[in-house]
Amino acid sequence: MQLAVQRAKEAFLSGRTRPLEFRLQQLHALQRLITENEAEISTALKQDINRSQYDTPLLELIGIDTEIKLALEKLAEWAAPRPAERNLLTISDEVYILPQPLGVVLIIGAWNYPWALTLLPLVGAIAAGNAAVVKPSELSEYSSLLLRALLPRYLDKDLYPVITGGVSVTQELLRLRFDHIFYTGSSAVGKLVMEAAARHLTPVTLELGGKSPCYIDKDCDIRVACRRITWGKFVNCGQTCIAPDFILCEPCIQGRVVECLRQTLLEFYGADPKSSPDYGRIINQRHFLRVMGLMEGYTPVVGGQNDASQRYIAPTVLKDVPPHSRLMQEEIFGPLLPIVAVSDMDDAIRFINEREKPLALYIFCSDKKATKRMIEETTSGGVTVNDVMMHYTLSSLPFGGVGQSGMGHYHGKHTFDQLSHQRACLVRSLRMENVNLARYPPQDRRRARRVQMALRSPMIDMSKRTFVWAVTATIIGLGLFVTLLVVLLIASGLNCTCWYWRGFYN
Amino acid sequence: MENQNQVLEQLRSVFRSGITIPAQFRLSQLNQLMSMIQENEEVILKALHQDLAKPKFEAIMSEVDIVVNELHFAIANFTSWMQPEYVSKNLATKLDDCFVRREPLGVVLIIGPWNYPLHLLLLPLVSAIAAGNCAVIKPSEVSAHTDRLMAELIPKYLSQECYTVVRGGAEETTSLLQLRFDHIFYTGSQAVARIVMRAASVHLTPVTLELGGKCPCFIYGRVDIAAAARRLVWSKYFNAGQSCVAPDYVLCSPATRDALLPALRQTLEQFYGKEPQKSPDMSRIVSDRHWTRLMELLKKTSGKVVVGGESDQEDKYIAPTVLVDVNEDDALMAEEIFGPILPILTVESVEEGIDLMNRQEKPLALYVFSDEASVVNTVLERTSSGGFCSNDGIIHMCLPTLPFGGVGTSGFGSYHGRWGFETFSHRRAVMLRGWALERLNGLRYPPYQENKLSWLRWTTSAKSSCSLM
Repeated sequence: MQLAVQRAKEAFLSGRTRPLEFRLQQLHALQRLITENEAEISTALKQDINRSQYDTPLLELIGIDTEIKLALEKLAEWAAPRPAERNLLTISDEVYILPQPLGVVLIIGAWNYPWALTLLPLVGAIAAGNAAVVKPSELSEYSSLLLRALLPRYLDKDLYPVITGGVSVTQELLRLRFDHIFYTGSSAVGKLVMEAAARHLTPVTLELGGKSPCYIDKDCDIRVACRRITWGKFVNCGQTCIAPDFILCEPCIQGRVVECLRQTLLEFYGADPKSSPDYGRIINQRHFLRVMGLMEGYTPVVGGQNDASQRYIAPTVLKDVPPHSRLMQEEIFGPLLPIVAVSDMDDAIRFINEREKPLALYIFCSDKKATKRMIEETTSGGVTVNDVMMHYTLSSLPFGGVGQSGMGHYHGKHTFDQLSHQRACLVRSLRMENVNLARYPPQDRRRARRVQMALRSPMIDMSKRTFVWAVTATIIGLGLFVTLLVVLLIASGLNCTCWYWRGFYN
Repeated sequence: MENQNQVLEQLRSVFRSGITIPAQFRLSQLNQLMSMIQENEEVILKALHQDLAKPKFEAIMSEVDIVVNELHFAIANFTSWMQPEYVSKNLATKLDDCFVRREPLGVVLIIGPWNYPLHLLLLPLVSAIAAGNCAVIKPSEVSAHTDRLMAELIPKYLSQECYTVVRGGAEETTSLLQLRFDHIFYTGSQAVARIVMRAASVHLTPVTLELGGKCPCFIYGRVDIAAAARRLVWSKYFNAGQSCVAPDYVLCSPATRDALLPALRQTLEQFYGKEPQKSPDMSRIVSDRHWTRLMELLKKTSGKVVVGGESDQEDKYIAPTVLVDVNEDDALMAEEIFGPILPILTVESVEEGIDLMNRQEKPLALYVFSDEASVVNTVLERTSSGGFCSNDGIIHMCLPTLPFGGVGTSGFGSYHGRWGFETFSHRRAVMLRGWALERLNGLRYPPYQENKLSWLRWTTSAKSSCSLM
C-alpha cells in the first residue's frame, strides 16, 4: 500500500497532470467508466444495499455524469489565473491568483452512496491536477471491489490507485502523508481523520452528518410537504446524510402529517414495502440492530415491522417523541421518522439552536417572512425550503457542513477550488526603482509618507459615494457640454434649420 | 481553566443573542479599532520598539499602516461581502431562489505571534469582526510589551462582551486549546501548529494555520544586480530577518554570486551605514533564546561569512550577515533561519535550482529575481509555495486583494481582505423552492418506472442539466 502511495506521489511529481489535456482525457475516461458499466454498478449496489435499479442512476450516476460534464466544459476557465485588483505601488505589475494542484489527495468514501461520494471528489481532484488515492468504504463491499477492478482499466494506474480494506487499512493510510484528505462519513471518525492529519499538517475536508431537522409550519400545503419529505426520508432506506432526520411541527397538525405520510408511503411502496422493488435495505447487521435499538420503547404509528434476515425495516413514523429520547440523541440514518412537537416556530428555532449544527435544515412554510426569519436565526450546512435535499443537486451551490457536520465545501467549481492551492502571484520588474526608493532605509518622514500613499489600496474606491459622485459629475459634464453646443449654434449666426428653433426667430 | 471556560461560555451566549450580526454593530467595532490604532500610535510604536527595537518607519509601514489599510478595505467592502450571493441555476431549479449566505461561525480564537505582534494579531481580528463573530484574542507573550498594551487597549475600545484578550504563556494557551471554539486562527511555528490542529480535531474545529518555511530567493539570468540587491536586502533585513515571508536563502549561479556580493555590501552600507548597530533603522532579535539559537546556527555552519557576522548578546544584536559556500545539508538549511543571516547557495542551471527548491518543504513565499520572463514563468509553474513574487520581496502581502496563506507545511487557509472575511464565515447554501411543479417532482418518486427514468435522463442530458440525489 505504501508502494502505491509512493508511486502516486512520483507520478504526480513527474508533472503528467499539469497539462489540461491530460486532465480532460482522464475525465473523459471516467465518464466512459460510468456509462459503460452501469449494469454492473447497479448489480453491485443491489447486492450491497438492495438499491433498486432505477435509484442507482437517479441517485448516483446522473450526478457523477453531470459533474464530469461540468468539469470538462469549464476546466480551462477554472484553471486559468484569476486577476486581482492592484494598488498604486503595484499598478504596473501583474497581480493574479494561480490555482495549482496540491499533490496527492486521499479520498475516503462512504458506504451509503459508494459511487457518488467517492467519485465526485475524484472528479475535482483530477480536474485540479492532483494524484488521488481512493479508499472506498469496505461496508459497501461489492461496490468497493468493482471500483478497484474498474478504475485502473480506465484511468492512469499510477496516479489514481484504489486501496480497499477495513479499519486497519484506513488507519495505516492515515499514518502516511498526503497533501489533502477528503473524508465523507461519521463525525466520530472525522475527528480521528483530522487528528491523524494534524501530524503532517495536512488540510482536510470533512463531510460529516448530523440530525437534519425538518420543520413543517401549520399553514402550509401539508400534503405536498409530506410527499416530498417521504421521498427524501425513505430513499436509500433513510441512509442519506442529508435525509430529513426528524420532523418538528405543532401538535395540532401532527395527526394530519401522520396521515399524509401514511398515504404517501402507500403510493410509493404499496401496502407491503418489503415486496416493493423500490425499497432498500439496511447495509449490515450492526446498523440494523442499531436502528432497531433506537425504536425501543416506542410504538410507531406507521410501520415498525422488520425482518432481521433481510435487514429490512419498514418505513416507520413515530409521533410525540420526547426530545431527550434515544431517537433524538444520534443521527438515525435509517427509515425511522420521529415527529417532535413544538409550540410554534420560535420554539422550533430554539430547539434547533440548542443542538449541534446540522448538515441540512428543511423548512416547509408558505410565509416568506417567517421562512426568512427562521433561516436568519439558525445555522446549518445548507437549507432547502419547501423541499428536501435539492440544494445538493445544484453544483453552483457549495455543499458542506459547519460545526459538527463538517468543514470545507465541494460540488462543481467548489471541488476544484477545495483541492487546489490558490497561489498569490505578484510579477514585478526591476525597473521603476525610483518609486521604490522611498521605502529603503535610512528613513525620514517625507519618504515614509510617500510609501504610505503608495500602499493605500485599493486604488479604485468601490464605495457607493464615489459611484454617486461619478454619475452626478458625468451628468453635469454632459449637461454643460450640451449647453456649450447650443450656445455655439446660436452664436454661429442662426443658421440652425432645426424645427424647434424656427419659430423662435420668425 | 475554569475561568477561561466561563469567559468562553459568556462569549457564546453573547454571540447567540445576535448582537454581532447587524452591519451597524460590525461597522462601529471596526471604527473603534481604527480609533484605537490612530489615537495610540505613539504608545504602540514605543511598545514595538521595546519588544523588537523596531525602527519607527518599519513599525508604521508593516504594523500600523497595514492594519489601517485593512480596516479601510474592510469598512468599505464588508457590507457587500455580507450580501447573499445568487448562483446560476439549472433546469430543475429555474424558478427557485438559490443563493449562498455568509454566516458568522461563532466564537473564534486568534493566536498571534511575536514578530509582528500588532499586525498579525489584529488583521485576523478585523476579518473576524467584519464577518460577525465574537473573538478570544491571545497575543504572544514573547513580545511582552505589545502583549500588555493589547490587553489594556482592546477592552477600552472594543465591546468587552464580544471580544476578550487572554494573556499567558504555553500553559494558558494549552488550556485554552482544550476548549471548544468555532474556528482557530493560528500564526506561528509548525511544531505548535500540530498541537493546535490536534486540539482542534477533538471538537472538529476548523483551523487556519499561517506558518513559515524557508522562502527561497532564486536569482538567475539577465538581471539588474544593483536593483535586485537593494530589494533583496530590504526584504531580508526588514525586522532583522524575523518575517515569515523574508527571503531565507539565495540560490544563484557562481557568477551571479560574485556580482551580487559587492552589490550587497554596498546596499547594506547605504541602508544601515558602516556600523549597523548604531543605525536607528536596524532591528534587534526579540529574545535571548532566539539570539542564542541564531548564534548556534552561525557556529554550526560550514559556510564562510563574507559580510557581517558581528553580534552583541546584551543588545540582542546580530549584524546583517551574508555567508557563501553553503550546501544543501548545512545547518543553516535545516530550519527556518528567522534572523539577519543570508546564506548563498550556488546552482548551475534553472533546472538545478528548481530541483533544489522542490526538495525542500513548500515555503510560504518564493522569490525570483530575473529580467527573463521565461525564467520567472518556469519557476512559477514548476514550484509550489504559499505566494510568489518576482523581482521583489514581501510586498505581495500588502495587497488585500491577494489571499495570504501557505501550502503544505507553510500552512493552509488564507486571509487578507475578502479572503479573511470568507475564512471567518460559513458559506450556507440556501434553496427556496415553491409549491408548484409538483407534477415535475413526480418524476423522481417511486414506484419507479422505466419511462419516468427516461424522462429524467432526457431532462438531465440537457446542457443546463440537473442531478438528483
